[in-house]
Amino acid sequence: MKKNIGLCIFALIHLYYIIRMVSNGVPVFEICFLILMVTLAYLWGFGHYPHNPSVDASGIPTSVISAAMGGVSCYILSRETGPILACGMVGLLASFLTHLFKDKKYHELPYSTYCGCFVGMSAHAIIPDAITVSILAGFSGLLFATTKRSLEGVGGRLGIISFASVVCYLLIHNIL
Amino acid sequence: MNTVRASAISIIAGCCIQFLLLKAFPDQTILLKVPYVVCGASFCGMSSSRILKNKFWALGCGIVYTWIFIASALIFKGIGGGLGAGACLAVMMFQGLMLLGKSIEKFILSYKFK
Repeated sequence: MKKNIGLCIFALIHLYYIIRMVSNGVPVFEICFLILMVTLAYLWGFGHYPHNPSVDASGIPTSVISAAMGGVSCYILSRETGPILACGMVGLLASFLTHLFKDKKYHELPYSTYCGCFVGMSAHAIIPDAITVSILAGFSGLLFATTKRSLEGVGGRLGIISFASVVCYLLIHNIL
Repeated sequence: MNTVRASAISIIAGCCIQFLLLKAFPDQTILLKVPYVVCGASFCGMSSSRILKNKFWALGCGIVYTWIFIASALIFKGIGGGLGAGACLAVMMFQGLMLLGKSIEKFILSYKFK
């Protein structure tokens, strides 16, 4: 269980997502089917996904900085172009970062930038200023670096990390 | 091409398709949702070949994602990462479906040979 802490975090976020779907009135039969299939995938995943044996601390600062930069640039661009096109453009630029920084330790740079980018896609009514976006995107970069090997190869993993950081912000904001 | 570039290009292509379709059918407000669905489905497509083994699996996963998008689009409106979280859920659900299919296939085959 200790080895799969990242997988447990992702499972919790998925649980929150499903609970919100239930509260929105999605038919119970569909939700039961969804829960059954996702549980099956997770049970299989606990045995088959690579574990998270040790966190490489050297990758954390670059992940945090690149995610914060990706988040802020997407947030600023989204005012002009809308969030989807802004995300596409920042993602496209981020994908060329490996050509600029050829060292192996910067190999994950496009992924962490893209991860921060999703935080920047938030509506301006939800996250009102770029400083908050940079902090949340930085936090998502930290989560990305620490849960690197959990759910490896599953599409949407970067999205769920940024979703987690935005939901955490909203929960804290609502409590305060 | 890395997965980030592939996803970003498909998102930009989705926006271009929406622009062209809106020029042709300006009254169809449903077209405004096209880039969001394309964006989320492109996140599903970022899965490794270990998860989505071929193009048809990716197509199936995209269909599963469309259902999740319809069910949850309004709940997470404006929350960054909502599309990605839905995509991740769709991939997991599709993986569960494939595992179930495989188990049923194994059961039938073993029953036949008995």
